[in-house]
Amino acid sequence: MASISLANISKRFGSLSVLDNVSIDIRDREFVALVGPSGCGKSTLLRIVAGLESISDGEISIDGEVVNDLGPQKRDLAMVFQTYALYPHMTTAQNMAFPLKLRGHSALEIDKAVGQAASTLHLDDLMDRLPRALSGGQRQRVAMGRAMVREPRAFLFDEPLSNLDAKLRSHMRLEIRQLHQALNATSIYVTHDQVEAMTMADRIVVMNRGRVEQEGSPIELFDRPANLFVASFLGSPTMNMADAVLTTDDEGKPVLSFDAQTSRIPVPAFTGAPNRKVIAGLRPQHMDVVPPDEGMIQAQVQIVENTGCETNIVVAIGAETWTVQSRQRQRLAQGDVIGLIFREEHIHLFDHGSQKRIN
Amino acid sequence: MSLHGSDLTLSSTAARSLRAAGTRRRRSLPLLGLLLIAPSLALSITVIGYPIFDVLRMALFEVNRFGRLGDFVGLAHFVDAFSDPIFVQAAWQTVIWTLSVVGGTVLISVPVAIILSEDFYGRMIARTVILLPWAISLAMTAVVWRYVVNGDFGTLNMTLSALGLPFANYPWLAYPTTAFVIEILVGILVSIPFTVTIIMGGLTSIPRTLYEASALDGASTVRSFTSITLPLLRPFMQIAVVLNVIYVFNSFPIIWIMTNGGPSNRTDILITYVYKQAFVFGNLGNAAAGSVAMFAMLLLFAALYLTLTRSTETAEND
Repeated sequence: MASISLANISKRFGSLSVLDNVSIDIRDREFVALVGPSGCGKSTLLRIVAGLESISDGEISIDGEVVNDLGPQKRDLAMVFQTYALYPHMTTAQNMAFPLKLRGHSALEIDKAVGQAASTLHLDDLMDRLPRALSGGQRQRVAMGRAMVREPRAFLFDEPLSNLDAKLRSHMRLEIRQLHQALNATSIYVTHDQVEAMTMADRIVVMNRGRVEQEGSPIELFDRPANLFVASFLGSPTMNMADAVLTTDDEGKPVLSFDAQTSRIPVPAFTGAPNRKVIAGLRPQHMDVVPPDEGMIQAQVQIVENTGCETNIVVAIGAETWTVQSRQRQRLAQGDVIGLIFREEHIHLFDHGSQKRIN
Repeated sequence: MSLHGSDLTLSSTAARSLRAAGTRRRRSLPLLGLLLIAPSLALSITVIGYPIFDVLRMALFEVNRFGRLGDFVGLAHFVDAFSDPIFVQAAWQTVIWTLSVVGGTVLISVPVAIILSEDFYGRMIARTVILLPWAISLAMTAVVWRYVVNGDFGTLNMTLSALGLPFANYPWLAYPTTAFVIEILVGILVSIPFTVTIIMGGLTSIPRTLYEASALDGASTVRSFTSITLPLLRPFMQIAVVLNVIYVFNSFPIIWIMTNGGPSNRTDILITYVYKQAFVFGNLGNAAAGSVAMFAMLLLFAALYLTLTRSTETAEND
């Protein structure tokens, strides 16, 4: 197993900069998720680690050894592709045996390793099938098996679950996680699905436009997003945002007033400079519905979405549209006026200009 | 469980009604269908079937040089043809010709197709150049090459002597071996465009990620080629081989124009032999018997080849 270090990686295609000075350190046995919208450079970064793309600048090292000029054959990494990339003319067993065959293992060793991986992944009955006779989930498993058999230094996953249906995806999510716990292998997992990143990773790296926006544990990122991008990218439904003004009350304590509302909300924990325009964020899960006169702010119901265990209420607050997620069944109809309450510590404040977190 | 059960009933009902619809459709189909395909069927039978019928008839009946049929002679024409040493010689030469041209074509076309599939500056020009022979009629190509290798004023000898080599008046087409080799080379040249096109199509059907996966698995470029490219190209090679064998086996213009089957029948293949029998010597009966034999050989080849390749494919599927 291995630690992987990316130092000041840049990748340019002509004048187009795909990765801009990205540095990430991945510890031995860590499961790191690279997450971000399409085109953020996460897949390119993974392919750079794999050795499938060259870099314009920077240094990649595996276990302290610089591998910039090492081809993918020599890096001893295994990759699971989004399209699985199974060899269509080889059976499950042959696909899984291929990397071992290339390394000159004996037939006996190969049979043993392949058999072991197959039983871990419940592929025993499918060993003689060609990929085209397998379902999506089974192909996915074979791809994982092919990666597992040779005990590589690290696993690279390039959106491995995005071609599966929702139910299978959540199942495979669990399996990959369990596999990681069992194998204890360094893993880099690229996904655009924040739920996958949140549930699977030890650490998440959020990328946007070729840069790292923030890295940290899933909970850190969820609780204290460093900027507006991370705040709006993680969490479902998306964090509610509104322009607000930070001022002081008569006693000099900081208070927040939303543009659309007259009521002022004290934010005693805030220690930065007051009297500025900010963007205030509140997660849909951190608000409660109360009668209008008891609310800190008033809102008008627009749409009520019942998902069974939660109710998503889309409301209008002045010109803004917010979503409130309630655990209680709400008997609400379009046009109803409700009050919303929340705890002050759940408010995320971002600078209006730099969009960086200020509380 | 009950939900599952009702699901099942529903789907089986649906299947039953689908089947019923299918039967109805199938019942009303034959007459209308036959009616619709009748014109093209009639045309095909006339255009393809009649000549075959006519050749078969000529092979089995006495026939004069103007095509007038006489008495039934059974297999006499076949016996005549098969006992003609030149027929046997031409048959062997046909085998050499077909194997060399098809083998050479495939051997050259695979690397050419791989190079043309790579991204490089001027690829479009290179592709066009490779495909150009296709645009010129076989007869024209043969005429041009006959001039090129002409002993007295051909550009080949001119070039060779300019390089100081002793080929000032070497009559390439006067010697059977060199003549046949040159014809085979021209045959390869004109078969390359078609074969390259098929193999390039095969190459584009192989996803790039397979090469990336194999690189990560540790495969060198050569190993990727033997373990991934070649096996995945196999169906395309099979098509290329079958079609080329049929074309080349029956290819008339190159040999006819360059050497007329000579010197002393040493470059004759069956098709030129049959042509000579029919239109030079007037032995329409022998020619017809030879044609039927050729038809049988190709049919046998196609059947053999298809069963061989199909059986390996089904073996893979199991």
